[in-house]
Amino acid sequence: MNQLDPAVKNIWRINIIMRYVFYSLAFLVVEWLLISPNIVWNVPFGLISALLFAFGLTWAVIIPIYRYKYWRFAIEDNEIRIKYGVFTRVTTTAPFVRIQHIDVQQSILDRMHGLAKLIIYTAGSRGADILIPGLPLEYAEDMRDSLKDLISTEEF
Amino acid sequence: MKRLHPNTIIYRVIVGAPNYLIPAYLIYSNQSRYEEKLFFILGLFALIFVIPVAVLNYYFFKYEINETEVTIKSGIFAKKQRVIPLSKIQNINIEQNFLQKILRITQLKLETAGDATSEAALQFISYKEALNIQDYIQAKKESIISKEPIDIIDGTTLEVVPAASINAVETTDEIFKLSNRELLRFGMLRFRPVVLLFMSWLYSFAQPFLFNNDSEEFDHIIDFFASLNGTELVFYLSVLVVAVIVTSWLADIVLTVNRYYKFSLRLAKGKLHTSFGFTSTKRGTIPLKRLQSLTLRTNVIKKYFDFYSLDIQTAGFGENSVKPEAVVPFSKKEKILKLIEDIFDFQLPDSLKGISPLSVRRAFIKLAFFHTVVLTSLVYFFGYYMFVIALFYPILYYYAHLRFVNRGYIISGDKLAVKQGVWFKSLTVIPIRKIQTFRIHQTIFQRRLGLATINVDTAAAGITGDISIIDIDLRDAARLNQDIKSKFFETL
Repeated sequence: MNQLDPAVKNIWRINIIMRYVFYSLAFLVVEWLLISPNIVWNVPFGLISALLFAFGLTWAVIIPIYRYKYWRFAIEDNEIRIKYGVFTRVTTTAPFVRIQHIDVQQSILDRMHGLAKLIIYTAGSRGADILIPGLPLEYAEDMRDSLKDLISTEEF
Repeated sequence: MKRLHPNTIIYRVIVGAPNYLIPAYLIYSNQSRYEEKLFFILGLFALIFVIPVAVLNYYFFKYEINETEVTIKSGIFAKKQRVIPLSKIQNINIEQNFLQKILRITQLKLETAGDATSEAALQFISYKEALNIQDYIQAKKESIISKEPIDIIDGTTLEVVPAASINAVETTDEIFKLSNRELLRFGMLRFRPVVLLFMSWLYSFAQPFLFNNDSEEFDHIIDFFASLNGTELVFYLSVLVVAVIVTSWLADIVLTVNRYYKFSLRLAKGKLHTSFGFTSTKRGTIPLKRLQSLTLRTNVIKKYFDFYSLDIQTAGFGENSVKPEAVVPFSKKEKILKLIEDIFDFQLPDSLKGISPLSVRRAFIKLAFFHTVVLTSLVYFFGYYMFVIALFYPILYYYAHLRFVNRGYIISGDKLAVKQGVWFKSLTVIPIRKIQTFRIHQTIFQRRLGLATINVDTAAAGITGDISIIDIDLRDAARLNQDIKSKFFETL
């Protein structure tokens, strides 16, 4: 099975850090506006936000390494398979004949790293079942084009 | 081009009434001179706006059905024209509620295989006209298809004659019907928690109607309850509880009879036709080729009397297909099994493979964890006697065991069957070739025990499309994956 482009770790890292910056700022605002004026509590102002941010930083260092390590995808004879997850492991397979349409998506971070996401939609109730992050743009486009020919016209 | 039934205008004005009458009433009820004027303006608004809009909408809505397509023109200012090729129409549903019944109008919905936006509804036409259109489209569709069997519209193949697994294509005979006696029994055994909740809610309303809060009478009632001792209070409370239960039970019977009155199921040309209802009549069509899965359901009480229900999940796009469609709302198991055999040429498997026994342990730990959290918080807030609740641990274990016993799965022929449920039991059967994606899922706790959860996704609408087999041995999961894979490509 194939691995993702290692640069994806960087994108994940930035995403995690941004998320935790948001969390700690949000908590800071809540503390400043709601908690401190109304409730007497002995925690120094901003400590919880700082801890949240510190946790986010550690998380951002460690998690992408493992997430990358366990992310696998493969295009087999007649189906596509992905395998991922650090804590909860998931293996998803979708037969080619079930593919409805395929998207290649790029976020700003993706563009900065020259990467793209490949999203494969089936008619299943879950919708977008297969999302492969961190593929080099040309690779993702090639994959999309080769899978395109296999898209089913069959009714279900 | 044709117009809708003129009673449509009356219906629209009546149905739209709350929109202008409620604000008008609210303003009217706290009268002052200024607001009286407003009330007058609102009434005027209804007259000069709502009614003309209904009339104009009626006037500008035209439809035509010819050999190949349905054309609908609508819109007062912004004109809309929608053309639906007959061959694209999947379902034709006729619906009529109580008010529509009085006004002798009915709704005709045309469902297509596209998304919800490509659907059309004729609101409202006469019942006779609706039946005529249904027959006409049905007949035209077949003649189109017999002339050019493939590639009608953008390569979509339409097969009116369903897959080989469907028997009895030619008969239009009724294959199931609910007798009045059975219907009554159905209502008696239904006991829906929703109705119970609704009834308790209604009872809570009774109080301000019966007594005025300020009156002396109310004070007497309060005094009366204050004077009661423990046993008497318990007695009065249990009378109240029994009253709520009995009335909700009766209400459920009435509701059930009203909804499923004269339920009948017919099979014609690869489609199941249902019709039922007393105050509002529903006629539905379920094309068997769009079937994704079928589910046999029961609960503990119904199972004791050997009653089951059968519903079918179809590939859903339209709003109509969000709910699984009841094919047999209530019947003896034997009869349903016979029906499944007749329609689908398929027998339900007798025995299923169980899930891993380790599941009991996992479920117990999970339940016990949440129980302990609740228990400790109760003890913290209400004192040590709350420890009595610790007696629930054996019950939790028993429940975990029951969950394990009631779960199972098997591949039988070209179908996958999955069973689950302690109180509400279900057995879902999925034709393997309808599977969209297959997923093996392992949480960190499952990995320690070597267990896995399997999700099988179909194109059925909503959550019903996703079927999971929880806590099976990882090796069994891998084997199941292989089996399903080979069956899938074999039957494709």
